[in-house]
Amino acid sequence: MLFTSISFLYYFMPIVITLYFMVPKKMQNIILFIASIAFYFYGEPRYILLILTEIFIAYLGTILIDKYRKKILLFIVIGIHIALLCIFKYTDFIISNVNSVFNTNISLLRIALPIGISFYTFQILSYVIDVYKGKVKVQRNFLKLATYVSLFPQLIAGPIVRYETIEDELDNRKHNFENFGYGVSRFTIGLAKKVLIANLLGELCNQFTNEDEKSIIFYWIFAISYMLQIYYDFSAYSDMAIGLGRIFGFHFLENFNYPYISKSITEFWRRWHISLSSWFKDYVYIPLGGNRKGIKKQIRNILTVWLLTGIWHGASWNFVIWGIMFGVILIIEKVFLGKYIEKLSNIFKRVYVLFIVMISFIIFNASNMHDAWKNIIGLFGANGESFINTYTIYYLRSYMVILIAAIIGATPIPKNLILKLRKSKKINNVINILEPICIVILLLVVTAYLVDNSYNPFLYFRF
Amino acid sequence: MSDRIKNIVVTISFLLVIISIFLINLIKEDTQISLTERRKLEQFPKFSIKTLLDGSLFEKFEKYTMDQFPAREEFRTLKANVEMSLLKKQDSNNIYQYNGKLVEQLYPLNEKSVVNLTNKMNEIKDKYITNENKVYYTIVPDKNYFVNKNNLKLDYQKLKDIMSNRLKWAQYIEIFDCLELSNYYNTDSHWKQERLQKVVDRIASKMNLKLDDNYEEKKITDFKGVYAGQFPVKIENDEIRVLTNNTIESCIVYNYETNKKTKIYDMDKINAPDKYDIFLSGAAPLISIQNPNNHNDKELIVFRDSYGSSLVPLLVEEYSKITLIDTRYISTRILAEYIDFNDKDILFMYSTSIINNSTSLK
Repeated sequence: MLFTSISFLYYFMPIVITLYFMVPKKMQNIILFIASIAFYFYGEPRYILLILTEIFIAYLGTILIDKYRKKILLFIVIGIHIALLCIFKYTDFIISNVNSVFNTNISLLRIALPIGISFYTFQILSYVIDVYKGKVKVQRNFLKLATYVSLFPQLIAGPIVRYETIEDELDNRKHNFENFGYGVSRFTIGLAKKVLIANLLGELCNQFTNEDEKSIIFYWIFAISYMLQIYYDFSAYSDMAIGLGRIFGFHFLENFNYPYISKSITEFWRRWHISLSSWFKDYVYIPLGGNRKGIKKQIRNILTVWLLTGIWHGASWNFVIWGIMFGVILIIEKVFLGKYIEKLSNIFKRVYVLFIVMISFIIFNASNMHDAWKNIIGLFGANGESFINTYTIYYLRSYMVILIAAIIGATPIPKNLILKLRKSKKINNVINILEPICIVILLLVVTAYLVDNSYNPFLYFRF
Repeated sequence: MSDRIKNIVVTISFLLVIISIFLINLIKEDTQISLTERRKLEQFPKFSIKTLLDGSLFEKFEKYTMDQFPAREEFRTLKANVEMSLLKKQDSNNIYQYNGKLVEQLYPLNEKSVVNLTNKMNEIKDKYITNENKVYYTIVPDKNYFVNKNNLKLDYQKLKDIMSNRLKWAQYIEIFDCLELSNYYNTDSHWKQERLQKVVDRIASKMNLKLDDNYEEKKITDFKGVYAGQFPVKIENDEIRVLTNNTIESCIVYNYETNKKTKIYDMDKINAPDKYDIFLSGAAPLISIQNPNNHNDKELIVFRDSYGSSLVPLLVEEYSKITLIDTRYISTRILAEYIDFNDKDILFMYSTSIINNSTSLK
């Protein structure tokens, strides 16, 4: 089920919220678990058993790990989950590569990717490892563990919530207007970001892809639009997840922090998909030795992490190249470029980051490396297109307001402005009056777009 | 307003919206069809274990929730207004508003489609047409041709050139200069019959027809065209007006598919979803118009799309019979079973929207 759907907003939400707040506190986790399973079943009926099996393996496995403290048990449990992830996500990728390298003709299995498998597998892995390390207590109540893994706000597109983050809140969480009000505002803003900005930018990107009459400027518009689309798409999902979590009393950690104002790639990855980069840092990079065993091993560790990050995003070579590209850039930044970047003015630092990230997302978006290359060299006129044409002018005019709004919204300027204005008590009161009005208006406008829907996929659902 | 009160107001207003709409959804009776969009609306899906497990139950339910949403039309209007007024988009679903008219932005030129259409016309020529036939073709411009305000357009000259290079056996009748935007409905793609005199005059002069332009103009009904459903903004509705005289009134239209006989203006269609169907009863593969007032045995065969429905009645005076063929619905291979082409005048008449998207032609 999509958050941005009529069925979620006007059927699932009212039913779940009403039931949740009507039942006694003891029953609330049961409601959340049933709602989460129903939420998953609605979108992916055939894989409901898979997720329940994975939760059960983690449940049983961690009880045994806790009891016997054997590393072999840890490896078995982790191995099973990684194996399942690989089978469902990478089998056809491996077969097609074997076929092309060894000139064989093994049939592809065409296994459909279970929605959210990369996200919930990583949640389970973090829990299992943390139990082994003694960072968290083993959860002996299956329902609570299942509620944690399957919690519908973050089930299918993150953020990757660690068990330690909500361990206490599984038992004790506060329900009050502060949480609910914040949750509603955050959720609605996420809805608007997705439906009114990301989807419209997606339309523009589609227009580019379908347009035969491209121009150099159109390549740039596409590259910038896609970069903004993926940010709004994914960060909107995180906003909605965080908002929904808060409605039910959970405090999920932030997943984005204005990544496009970063002044280095290192900083960018501290601000983009924070839950994934911190997961890799804590469960791969540091266990491999991090930066503690000399520069060579550090380089090896960085490359390993970024190879895995790339593969995590998808079973395709462009994701592998995308990941390695970031690994190499991060190494270059660490080894020698960092000190030169430091000396640049802030504007150049930002342009450097935005350019690298823009190129990276062209690779990320392309269905193959040939298309990626074509879209990259198109930026510099190497495909022989004109500088600008009537089509480009038309689309630029048509999407100008959305592009400007998207660019401004990707910076902390609006947030800082509101915070500044809120310092005056009078203005704060006015903003407080306007906020509920804006929330309802946004909800209704989003509804209008959903009722008359055309383009609405979440980019991060494929991971 | 304090932060605490604000949070209470946000919470209550959000819950009020989602719960009240949920309840309205439960109470409201489902609608069968959308008149503005001219389509059947999705109904509550039938449950079965198979559809539950293969996901199709939920897919249908998704469509159902969108189609049966309360005040759906108002929400669609809100979306169109946000897109155009707030976001300043140049078009919504490729339709834009210009001087009180809704215009579809037809572009880019699909050269393959133009060639495909001419191939079909050449097939007809090879199979049925001889030197005895007088053959003409004309192209009906779409509304977008008449707007020159940042809109994207077809390369109309190229379209005409491809056609003329591949149809040297037929005489082209240029009618672009006989039309202007006001000759078309505000909310529909079609032209208004009562504004076609210049076009009729041009066709008549090229085909050597002597036509009387003595018509009575009658308003039949108010009309909301196809674009009103696709682009639901407030716009002045149209009227269907027809030109009539004794000849037109006495003509009999015969539909070969249904064996039904009707008048040129089919008043049964006043309540049809598409009121433009008043002209010759709407889309049909093969129909003929018999003119009992003309005994010269002169016949015309028209290969046409829906634009022909309102124009052809204005040519009927000169002929004892006109046969209209819509090759979107009938294969040209079986025409000999129904039509004798000997000595007949032949007119091909297609709009640019069909020419640019001719895959539907059989």
